Amino acid sequence: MNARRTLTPYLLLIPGLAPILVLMTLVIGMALTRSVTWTDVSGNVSLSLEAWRTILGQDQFWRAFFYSARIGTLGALISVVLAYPVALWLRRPFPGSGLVSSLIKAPILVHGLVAAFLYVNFVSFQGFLNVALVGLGFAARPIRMQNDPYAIGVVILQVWKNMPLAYLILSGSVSAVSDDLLNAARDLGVGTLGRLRRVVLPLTLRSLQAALILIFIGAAGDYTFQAVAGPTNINSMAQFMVRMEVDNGLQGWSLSAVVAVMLMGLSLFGAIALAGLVQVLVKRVGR
Amino acid sequence: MLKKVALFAIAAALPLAIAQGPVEAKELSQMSWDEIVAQAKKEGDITWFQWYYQDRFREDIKAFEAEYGIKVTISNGDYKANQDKLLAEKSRPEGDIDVMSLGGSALNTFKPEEVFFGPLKPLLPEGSKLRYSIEGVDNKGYAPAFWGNQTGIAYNSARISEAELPHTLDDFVAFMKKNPGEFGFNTENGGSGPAFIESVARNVAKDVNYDDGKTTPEKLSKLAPVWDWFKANQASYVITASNADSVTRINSGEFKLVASWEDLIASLQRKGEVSKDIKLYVPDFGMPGGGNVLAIPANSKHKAGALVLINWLTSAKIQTQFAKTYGIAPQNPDADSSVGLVPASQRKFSTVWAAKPFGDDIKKTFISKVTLN
Amino acid sequence: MASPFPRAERWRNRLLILLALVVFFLALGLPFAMAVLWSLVDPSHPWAYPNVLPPVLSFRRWVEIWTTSGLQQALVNSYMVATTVAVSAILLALPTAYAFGRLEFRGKAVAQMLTLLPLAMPLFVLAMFYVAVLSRLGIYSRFLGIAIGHTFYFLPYAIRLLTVSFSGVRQDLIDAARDLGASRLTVFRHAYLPVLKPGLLAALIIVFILSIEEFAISYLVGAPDFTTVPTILFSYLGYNFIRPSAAAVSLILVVPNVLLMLIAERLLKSTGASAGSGKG
Repeated sequence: MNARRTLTPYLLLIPGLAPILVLMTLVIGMALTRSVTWTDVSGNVSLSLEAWRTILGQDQFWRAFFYSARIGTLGALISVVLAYPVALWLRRPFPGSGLVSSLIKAPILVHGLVAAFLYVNFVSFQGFLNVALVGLGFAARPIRMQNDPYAIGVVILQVWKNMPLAYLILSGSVSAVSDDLLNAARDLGVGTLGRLRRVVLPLTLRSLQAALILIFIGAAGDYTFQAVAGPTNINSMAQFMVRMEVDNGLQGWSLSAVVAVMLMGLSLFGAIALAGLVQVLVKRVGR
Repeated sequence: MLKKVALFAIAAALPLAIAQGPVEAKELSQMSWDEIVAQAKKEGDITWFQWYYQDRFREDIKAFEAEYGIKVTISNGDYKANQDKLLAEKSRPEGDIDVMSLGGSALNTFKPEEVFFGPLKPLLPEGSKLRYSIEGVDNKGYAPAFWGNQTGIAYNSARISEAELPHTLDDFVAFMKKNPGEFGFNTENGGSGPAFIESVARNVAKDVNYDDGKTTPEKLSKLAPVWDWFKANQASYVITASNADSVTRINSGEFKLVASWEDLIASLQRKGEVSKDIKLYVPDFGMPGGGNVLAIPANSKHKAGALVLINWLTSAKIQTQFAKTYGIAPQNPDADSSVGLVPASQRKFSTVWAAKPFGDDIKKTFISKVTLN
Repeated sequence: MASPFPRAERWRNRLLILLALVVFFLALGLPFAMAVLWSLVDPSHPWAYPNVLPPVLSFRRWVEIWTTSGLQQALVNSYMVATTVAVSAILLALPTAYAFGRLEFRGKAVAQMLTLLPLAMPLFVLAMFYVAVLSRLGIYSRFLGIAIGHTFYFLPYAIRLLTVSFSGVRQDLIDAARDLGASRLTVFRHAYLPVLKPGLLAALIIVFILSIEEFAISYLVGAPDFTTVPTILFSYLGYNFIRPSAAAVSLILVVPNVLLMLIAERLLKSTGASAGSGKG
């Protein structure tokens, strides 16, 4: 009876947890093994670091790598920076706060591809923005903004889609900060900014980090926004990965596996770095 | 272990797939056309892998479905994905593809007798009339042409007059200098931009054999002056996202010139999607023209049906209809010749495509040397 | 002393609400209005330079998209996959969520972390090498491939949502029912079901929507011929870019999901309410 009791929870875990672990092991294992195998021209497969050498020696790869790192960082930081004050503002309900809160969450319901289309349509030559600019006399001719080379469009889309997510994650923990604590701090003569720095920020650090990590991983691994609205003169990591597979015949899988492993590494370490950075910052301003 | 099993399965399936082809070919080849049609009706449905105008072909194909009672499913994939699938499943005994559309020169990149069922020339009732040598590649009767098309430069006549059009490479450089950002072409998702790149290459790097599909690093390095040409003018042209993106944007007034397809502009215009202001010409330095072919994968489950569909698509009646609605060059000698967009005097500037896989490498090298650099 | 401050705050809030409405209008209302306008451009009258507004509006585009784009097949595929995925993910998640929500055991926190693993993986990497795994295993059915991929990938969401539901079940009600000698079924019906039901439905709907919207796995596994609604939209945005048609497909993808999501949110709120009342 006792043994059964202790075993039961673990047996219950199997149906839910096992598929996840199996899938992840197979996929990661596949990427890792493919990255260290090489198919030569006559189709012989051998263990080799050739794919690593080829990819890491490519300028284009590193441009894609840092590009994705940049998009991930900008997307995550801007989303959180925008969402945080809103979450603070809506901490306690007031007339109209429900409306604002549901408006903010609306983009979550819009598919990323649709968002990308809406954006491209909005900034295109015939788009509303250009019609307005020309109509109001700010520009003589429509301005070309589609697939802009600085990836402003991609960052706007990332923020548009992820700011609500950041808001959702942050609002829970922000409203969980107890009023008693804040009142006590106020009674001790701590000003608004001081309360934010010393009470609210440290208490919401965990969800701040969670939001940054989730958004960073999504934005750094983006394919669709980049494919639809991104600059044509650079690839994102996901795009580069797919292109390596398609363009390189027999060696395609090995090359794209290296990119995949590097992208996983970027997601992992980039997310950790961001989370660590925020921790240090919060500690410092809280002092 | 798993790998061994998979390899073994492939090794076992491969000869089977190859062996299966000729056996059935014999069976079908011993049938009369009426028997083949009867067999096709028995098979019931077919899947056609076509990479453009799928929505419009779904309309066109209704006449075929009504005539033969055979249901046709047209896939939604793009060219690369379709070709990848064809090659990925060629070792399977039974594949999902019954009829495969391919660019004429694609047949150079793999052996038709290994991948395809046929030759179709003796099996089709009009087989001997059709064209099997296209874009410089003779596919030995395996894949008849059903689509002839020409690339060129589309211009928006509401924004640029015919007299201002650039006709030589020097004209183009001058045009781009004077009108920065007014010329666009794509590198991915469609062949019109790559056609322009190829044409520039032919005229800048003349000591390269473009009709030989062989591709080596040395041969590609001879194209360096081409990349220099593009880099020198990089600030003055715009890379678009696809064939369709180029057309959409010239239609909206964003560009004066884009690289495009005659049939793409013509068909969108006839449908009304694109303004009549958009016109097309072939510059004096030449732009490639060619066509697309239809083939039956060796592991198709519905070969009789596929034959009947190919026969229908290449018939004089349908080819005439395609010429009218899509602006193609018809591939059946009995069909009415197209009323194209390109002035007849410029037809002589049409060149063949650079042979593949070298032609593909020109595009890939362009992307890595020019766009991504 | 107390009154001037709240009044200033009220005005500040009103101003901010106004600002939020303006931002919302610019970021969502206007782009959608543009999409609606584009989707109504009559197919035989192009909206081209130098027209500022479309010359002729009609519903013909919608009819055309519906009959010729393969959208019907894609909708059938999407909804079949999503139904399969939602049901199987919930069934797989239930026991695990029960363990997380109602049992205490060693390593629970680690196990909970592990279930979130897929979320830490770049989705395109996962999809790409999932395709490689499928072909290695010899699974050629695209339906099966996508359905299995989605079920596994969305399990974390189902587990998370159901865990919350399970932990909202009140122990005192279970105990009371047991004390009254109720059978297991009765205990389940009276103590568990009322709390679980909204959460279950919400989880079903959310996984259903996630599956319908998922692009990477559907695109890479299904390419080129097994299409779902997002893959069709992607082809309309890329290779076959025709702006008015893309507008129509976009709207078709968004509207049903928004409605479903609103229902799910309602349901989740009611779980939250009952869970909250249990504590209060």
